[in-house]
Amino acid sequence: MAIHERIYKRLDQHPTRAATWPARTIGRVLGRQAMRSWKTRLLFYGAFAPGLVFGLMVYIVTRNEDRILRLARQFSLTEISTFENVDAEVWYRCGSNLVFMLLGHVQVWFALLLTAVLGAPLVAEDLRTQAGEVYLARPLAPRDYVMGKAIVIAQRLFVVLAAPALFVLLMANMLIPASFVACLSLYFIVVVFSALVAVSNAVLMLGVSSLTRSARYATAIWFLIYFVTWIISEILVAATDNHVFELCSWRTNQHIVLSEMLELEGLHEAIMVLPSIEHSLWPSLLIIAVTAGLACWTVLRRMQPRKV
Amino acid sequence: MGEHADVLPLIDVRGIRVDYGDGLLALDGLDLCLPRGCHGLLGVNGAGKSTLLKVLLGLLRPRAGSGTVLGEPIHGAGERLRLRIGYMPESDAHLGDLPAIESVAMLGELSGLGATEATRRAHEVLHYCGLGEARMRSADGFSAGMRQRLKLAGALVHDPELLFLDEPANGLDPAGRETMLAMLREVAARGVSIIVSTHLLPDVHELCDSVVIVSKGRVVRSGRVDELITGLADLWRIQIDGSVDAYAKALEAEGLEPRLDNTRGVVAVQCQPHSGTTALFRAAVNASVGIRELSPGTKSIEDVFFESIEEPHGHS
Repeated sequence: MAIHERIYKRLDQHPTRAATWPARTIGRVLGRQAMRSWKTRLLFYGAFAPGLVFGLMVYIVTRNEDRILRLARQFSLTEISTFENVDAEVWYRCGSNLVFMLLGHVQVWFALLLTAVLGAPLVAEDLRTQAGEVYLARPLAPRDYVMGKAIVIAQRLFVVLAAPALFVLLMANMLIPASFVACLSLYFIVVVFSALVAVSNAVLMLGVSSLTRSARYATAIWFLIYFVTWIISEILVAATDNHVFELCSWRTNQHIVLSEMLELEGLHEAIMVLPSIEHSLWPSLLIIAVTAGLACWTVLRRMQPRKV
Repeated sequence: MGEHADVLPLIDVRGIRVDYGDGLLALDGLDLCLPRGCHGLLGVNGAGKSTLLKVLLGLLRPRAGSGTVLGEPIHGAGERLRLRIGYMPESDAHLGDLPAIESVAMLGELSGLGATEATRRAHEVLHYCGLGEARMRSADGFSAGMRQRLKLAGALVHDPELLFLDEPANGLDPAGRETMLAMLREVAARGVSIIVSTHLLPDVHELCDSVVIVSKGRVVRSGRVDELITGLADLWRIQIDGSVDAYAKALEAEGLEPRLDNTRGVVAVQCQPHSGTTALFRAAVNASVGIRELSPGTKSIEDVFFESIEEPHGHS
């Protein structure tokens, strides 16, 4: 057994400059720690299950296309002539968009839960133990601290949102090679939408987490923001028949962005009746950006040195 | 660092003024110049010690004043400055439920060490701080003493030139306190300058070369510990036989300022230099008390501290 002498050793070479990407260091270390919890692991890996289910469905549908159309005709589920008149490229795009739309809606729920589990303690705990001082006493700017914490959430949300969709899309393209070109833009949309939801959820959650010193309260506030704004906006829309109130809901704004990016409004007429979207992309994007900006400002403000 | 690094003052700040926006001045035109070494920062709660540390770290921007720490300006050199400073806060400040080794290594990385070097150094400083066996455990399960040592390890991981310690012996038992002070003495002996902000005056006496006493946002007294405690040779400690209160009144009538220790019946009196003890005996006659013991008083750091914070205008 080696005997270690307990003496303080000076470093031969002192660090001469601050860490290049301190946010990445914080994100890596805290992210690894967050994934040690079995609840987080269960939620994270469980979020891939819908992708597998959708992949299986795509496989079954592409391998049994004739049988499904025959069944649809038999049960008069749809007007077959509509399909026959549609251009193949539009058909592939619509089909892929619809699959991603449905999958996106499922994955957003996982993202909601994962955001709460990963993000609630991130700033609240630091406020409770005043660990912010320990970070900010290092050569890093407050924005690096916020970015590092956001990376912990956003990285995992992005994987949970994008990976299953890309898997399903890739599988569909492999089973129907002719659909690849038509669906090329969807790869881009999947990545952009996943990144948007991941980053906006992460920053909003940090803002929520910075409002309290308890991770439990932060979780409660997060769900309140998500569900209460959704319910209130639905009630207001129903009461006034004015769809502008939909923009009050964080959830609906994300839904609008997804729908608009997938151009369902333009495609639904071609293939089947889907609820039309009443809003354009930009107001929702603006609301998401402003809310995220406010959340970011809240965190920075809360992390400022306090009166002692 | 240039060749003149050792002759530059450790800290040289002038006219530092910080208020928190509610009319309360945390620092009121504070001036401070300290050479390299180990210094104690003393003051009552709310005196401005922690605020001063935050200003010196570049975390708080003062409303007025300027200066340098380690030759770097406190304005605009925050990140460069913090690369050379280690900070051990007073608060609990543990990084979530991270194992000790990971939290210290992360702090090392954030201070500019490479990932491998930071991990190696984290093992080293945790071992030095006596947490070698517990380094894989989360700080959540640590005792108060272990948490203090973990904070010290985090402050030392990048081998800073200057160490700010805010109440380092907080919550430690006597043995833990002694270990902490021994560690700090060794760190100081290896050339690291230390500023200790504490309420525990004996710690300052044991650890520091000099003391800075802060009151109401200003430095009211500073100097070498040995000079401060021997600076006033005309202090007398008198044990009397009779009413302590009556004797104190008689001393006041003689124009002296007695300080009573009622538990032991001892009166400490500061006389004018070279004034002798005549007035002390005269007061005893006037108060009809007997003097059982008269001895020249050695001032403790507590005496210096209490005198300083009671003075309306301190001196350096």
